[in-house]
Amino acid sequence: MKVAIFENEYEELRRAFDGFNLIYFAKKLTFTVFANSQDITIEELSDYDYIVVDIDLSVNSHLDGFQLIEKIIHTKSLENIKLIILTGQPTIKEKLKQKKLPQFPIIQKPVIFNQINTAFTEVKSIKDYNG
Amino acid sequence: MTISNFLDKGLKKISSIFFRILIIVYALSIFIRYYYYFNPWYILVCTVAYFSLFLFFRKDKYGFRVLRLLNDYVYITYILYPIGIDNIHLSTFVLLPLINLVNHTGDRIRKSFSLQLFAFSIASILILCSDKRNFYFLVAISAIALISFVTAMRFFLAKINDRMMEMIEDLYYSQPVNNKNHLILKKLITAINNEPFISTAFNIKNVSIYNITKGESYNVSLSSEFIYNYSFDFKHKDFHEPLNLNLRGEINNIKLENAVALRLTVQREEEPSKYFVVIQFNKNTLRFVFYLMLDKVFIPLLTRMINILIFEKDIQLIKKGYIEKTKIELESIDSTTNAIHFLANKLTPITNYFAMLKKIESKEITDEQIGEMKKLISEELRRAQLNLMPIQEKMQQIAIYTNSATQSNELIPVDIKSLINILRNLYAQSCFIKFGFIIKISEADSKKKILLNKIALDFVFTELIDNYNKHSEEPIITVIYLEDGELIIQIENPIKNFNTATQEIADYINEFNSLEISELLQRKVNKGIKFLKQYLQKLTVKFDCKLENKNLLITLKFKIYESSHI
Repeated sequence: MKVAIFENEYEELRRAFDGFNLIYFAKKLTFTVFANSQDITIEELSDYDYIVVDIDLSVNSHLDGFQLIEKIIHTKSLENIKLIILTGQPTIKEKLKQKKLPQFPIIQKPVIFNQINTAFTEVKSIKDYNG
Repeated sequence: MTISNFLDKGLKKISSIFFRILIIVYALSIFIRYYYYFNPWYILVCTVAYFSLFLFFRKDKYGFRVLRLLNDYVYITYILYPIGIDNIHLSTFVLLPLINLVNHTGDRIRKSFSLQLFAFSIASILILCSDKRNFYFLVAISAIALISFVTAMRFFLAKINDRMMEMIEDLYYSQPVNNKNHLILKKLITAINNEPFISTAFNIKNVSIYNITKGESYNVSLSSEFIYNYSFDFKHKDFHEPLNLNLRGEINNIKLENAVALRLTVQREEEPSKYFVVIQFNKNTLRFVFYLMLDKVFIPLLTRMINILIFEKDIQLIKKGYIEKTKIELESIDSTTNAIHFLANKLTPITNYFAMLKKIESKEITDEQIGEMKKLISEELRRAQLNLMPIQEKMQQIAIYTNSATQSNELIPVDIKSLINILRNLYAQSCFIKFGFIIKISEADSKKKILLNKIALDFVFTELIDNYNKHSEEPIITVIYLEDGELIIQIENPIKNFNTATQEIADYINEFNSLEISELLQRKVNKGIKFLKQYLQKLTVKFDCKLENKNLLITLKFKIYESSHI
């Protein structure tokens, strides 16, 4: 299974994701990391099963995390993809509510490998949230 | 009372006492020398009458001054009457009150030769003399009267100038640099209009001072009355004329009448600062008196006021420099938000290291997984060790920023008039931008109050003006009005390159309006915009930014309070 990760400081998180992949998915997940929103087109994301989006992307990214999520959930071809949020912000749930975005599962930073698993277990496809 | 005033009063008293003694001694010497002319009773009655009148009118200040002189003259005339003044030694006695007048320096001014004194001098001479000497005395007294009048006028002008200068100093002792300069102009008008001599010649309605900018436009710097709007009918750089005797135009939508414009240049080290002053008269029956006072009173006085304005502008520039300097510290919110983000990432290897160790100890995983997990744990440990130092440094930075005392949240009540003055001053600090105000507020409403964080306002407008300076060559129009219990300040400026960058500008504005400051800080927008948003939030006003007809409109809404409620 393919996972797209939008994170500009992935090196800090890499071992947590690798550990999670090792223990819970028997290394069946393939991670592709994008530092900026413009590093891949929205259409190309349909090749992935999961998308993990860091809310606080680099200042060089054209879109921030919220803007990227909005773009993804409004793209018809991506409705079967499972979306997970990665963030260090403690008030993320309220912010999602304010922005009228679905309550996607959250991986809270600092990241622990088994927390990643919780998010991956909970997550549903985008169309289920949009329902 | 100052020491110089005390000395002045003392010397005046001494001079007065010496003069009386001189009169008495002189009178006695005449009595002795010409004893055969006088009856002792005559001398006694005259002397008692002289002192009685002197003491009786002592408490009536004005009456005393007039009667004292008359009394002197009557006394002298009575004494000299029996013998006449043909003798030159006796005739000098007639001139004693005149000598006293020249010597009289009460209140640091020279009293004019009064009409009463002049009449009495003439009458005395007519009574005392019957031969041709009469003519010489008339000429001498008339000449002294004229010299006295002209001297008194000179001292009068100097006195007005001194009083105005003292007024400026007093005001600055009691209210140092506090946007209260208009009070000086108000006091100046009151003082001038209350001078009996001047008020018969002219009467000033208002005075306003305008700064001529490098762009050959002009902005109001100071005014005795609050000015909402103004326009002058200057024909072809007329404001560079030294004196415009018949200025046309409008102040607060009222047509100017009897107005003059006076140009003043204050030489500074780098370059001259140019101003013109508009003086509007209520009446100007004898306007030449004003012109007489121009060089000695008005030009030095107004130049001094302009120097004060320039001094205040310098202080504002120092303040602006301070703002620029403290911007580095004001990045605290920016840095704190980034620090949280930074720490969350850097702590991941540490927390994950312990979580993975725990997993191995739990024996929930296979041996094969344990082997691979150990490799990951070993990698994570190295990473965690590397991260410890940056985490420590970042925590120290946060501590420094948290202790920064530069961010004030103090809200103080300010009336709308004062707010407009503050805004005008903030714009006027920048000589590079053109700006105009459209104020749609009545006099009564302008006294209503808002709660204002002055530091935040300074920051917001300094940042805005800096950005206008960088990105715009068009004038900035600030429209101020009331709507639904709110004070609306709308800043309007045409956007350069609007057609080529419409979408980009629209996106930018949308981001500015919709993103919270913590989110905006994560975007690649310039620091000015970040500060602007941060300090707009501190101003505790509603704000909005939008595009309208190729113009960028920034709207600030302040809640209005009735003054009794705050």
